[in-house]
Amino acid sequence: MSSSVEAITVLSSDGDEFKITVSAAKLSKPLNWMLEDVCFSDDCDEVPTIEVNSKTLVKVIEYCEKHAPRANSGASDSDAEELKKWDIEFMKMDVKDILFHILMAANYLHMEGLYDLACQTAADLMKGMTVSQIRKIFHIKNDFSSEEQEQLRRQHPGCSFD
Amino acid sequence: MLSRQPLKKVKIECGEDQTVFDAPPPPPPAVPPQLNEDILDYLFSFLPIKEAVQVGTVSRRFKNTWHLNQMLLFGPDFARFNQKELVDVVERVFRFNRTPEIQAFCLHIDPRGIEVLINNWLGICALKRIKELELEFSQPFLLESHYLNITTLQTLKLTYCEIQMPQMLTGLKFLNILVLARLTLTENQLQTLLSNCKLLNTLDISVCFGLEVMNICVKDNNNFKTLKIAYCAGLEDLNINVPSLKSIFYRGAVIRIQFEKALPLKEAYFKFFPSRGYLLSHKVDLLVIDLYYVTVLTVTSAFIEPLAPRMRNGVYREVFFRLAKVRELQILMEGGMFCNPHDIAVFLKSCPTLETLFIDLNSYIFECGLYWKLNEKPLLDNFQYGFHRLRFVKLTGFKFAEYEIELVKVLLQKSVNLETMVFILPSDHRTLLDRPSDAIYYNQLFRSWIVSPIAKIFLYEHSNDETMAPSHQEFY
Repeated sequence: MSSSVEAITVLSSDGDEFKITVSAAKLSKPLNWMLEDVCFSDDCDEVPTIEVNSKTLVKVIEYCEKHAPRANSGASDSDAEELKKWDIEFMKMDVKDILFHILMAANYLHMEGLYDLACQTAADLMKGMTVSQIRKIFHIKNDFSSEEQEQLRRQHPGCSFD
Repeated sequence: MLSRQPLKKVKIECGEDQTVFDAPPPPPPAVPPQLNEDILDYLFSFLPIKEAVQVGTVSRRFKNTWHLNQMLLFGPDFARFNQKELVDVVERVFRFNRTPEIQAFCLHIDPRGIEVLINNWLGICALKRIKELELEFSQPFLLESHYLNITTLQTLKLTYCEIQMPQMLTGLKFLNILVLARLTLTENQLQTLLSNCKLLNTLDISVCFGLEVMNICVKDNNNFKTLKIAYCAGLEDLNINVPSLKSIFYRGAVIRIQFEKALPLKEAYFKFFPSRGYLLSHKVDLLVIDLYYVTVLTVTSAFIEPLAPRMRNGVYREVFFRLAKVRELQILMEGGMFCNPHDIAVFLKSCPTLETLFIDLNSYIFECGLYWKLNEKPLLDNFQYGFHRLRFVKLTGFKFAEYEIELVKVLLQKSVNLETMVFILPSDHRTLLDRPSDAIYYNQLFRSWIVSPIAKIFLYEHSNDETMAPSHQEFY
């Protein structure tokens, strides 16, 4: 990759173009590999497509740009606390709207930090949900027989099944 | 008019040039995308173990998903389990755990007779690169030295543990939060911990014994931001030399707290215990000078009383100090039996940039005898200073007692930019506001004192209070 390139353009699955700095793109393993293999320069017309919709990609890039300085500077923790607070604010999003898309994008882009953050946020939101609610939100089919279900109720008296 | 307000008010304003349209139909509810099973397995591993077990009942596929759980939290949720039941559960979870790393292990238990098992569990945690460890025992437990050498720990909370320091402490390099409670701490142990935890952000020491003088000296760690000390019996002196410190919380007896120099603290919280006698000022005089840069401050009346104007070396005078940056002040009225409305007004005078004031009157009764009548009340009646920046005042536990009203009077008369004053009645309903006519009387009285053209007064029952809360809630 040309060392003079500071930002690259990527396409979302909706066909929209987005700019992302090279240091931010390095947070994603696939993008990092791509940066190492492909020549990105000003006259390069190759624009990689990321199979993430535009709305989600905006948020993913926002996360990358925020975390890139610390990730690339080698481990100084002076801003760690501030970054944690930023993460909490960043994750205040509607589950149905975008959180699950972020989760899938982080998994697809191999972004460990964002993946863990999104999983922890989703797990926090699950607290207090009944079994039926969990099945509904995650599209899980109940394949237990009625006998097994009765046995589960006995095994887990504290669980809310309805 | 001063009256008990409804719980919520919603005001909708529409300008003259605005047109109100029919609201468009709400969009159909979004359906969350389906996550694949591997993602779900990973997501469920972040649930506390109790919830993770519950998730196993959603379908056969996830029946054993708790084997991958990394949040092994056996804390308050398991309070109803007796020791044997809890041991069975924890043992089963560790036996089946297949996750390569454990994020957190929290255990609240009586350790008697199960020391070997606890050490086994801790050994597994160490092997699985644990990040957060919380051990709360109801009886003393000897924490073997090698557990303090776990290098991956970021959070360590120990309650009722006997700490055995390793000869050479090599762990805790990434420790961010250290909480020590109900244990004996030596100066040597404290200094070893402070010098090894180079990334420590928060140090919380409560109900610990063994130290008369506590020296918190951390000059080479810019991450150290928060210090919390509470209920340390026998502690006389607290010396702080932490240039990066932003927050200090102290709760306990009045002791000498000294900073190496005044720090740009974001917040400070000093809840001094009530004292039986008149408090001497020397322990607070120096402290208040070091709080020059604090922006959010909570103090008790036992903090204000020693700073109040009184006879000093044969001369009646005030203590000179400035809390030049305080924007928000919370005063908790408890202890300091001689703290009167004039003392509070003088204290406020030292906060020239104060914008928001909370006074929790609690069950405090101002002890205003002859001294008050002959000396303090005339001074308050002729109080010259104005609280020019003050915009919001909230008086919680307001009983409409005589001396509380004196305080309201000076606040209303001297706050030219006041926007809101809120009265919250006591939670035990012990108020002198008995009849509707009382409310009308006080409404007229208070309005006659208002000097700010935009000031509004609100009164709420304790249970209906949804007005702005102080930044500092109880920290223990």
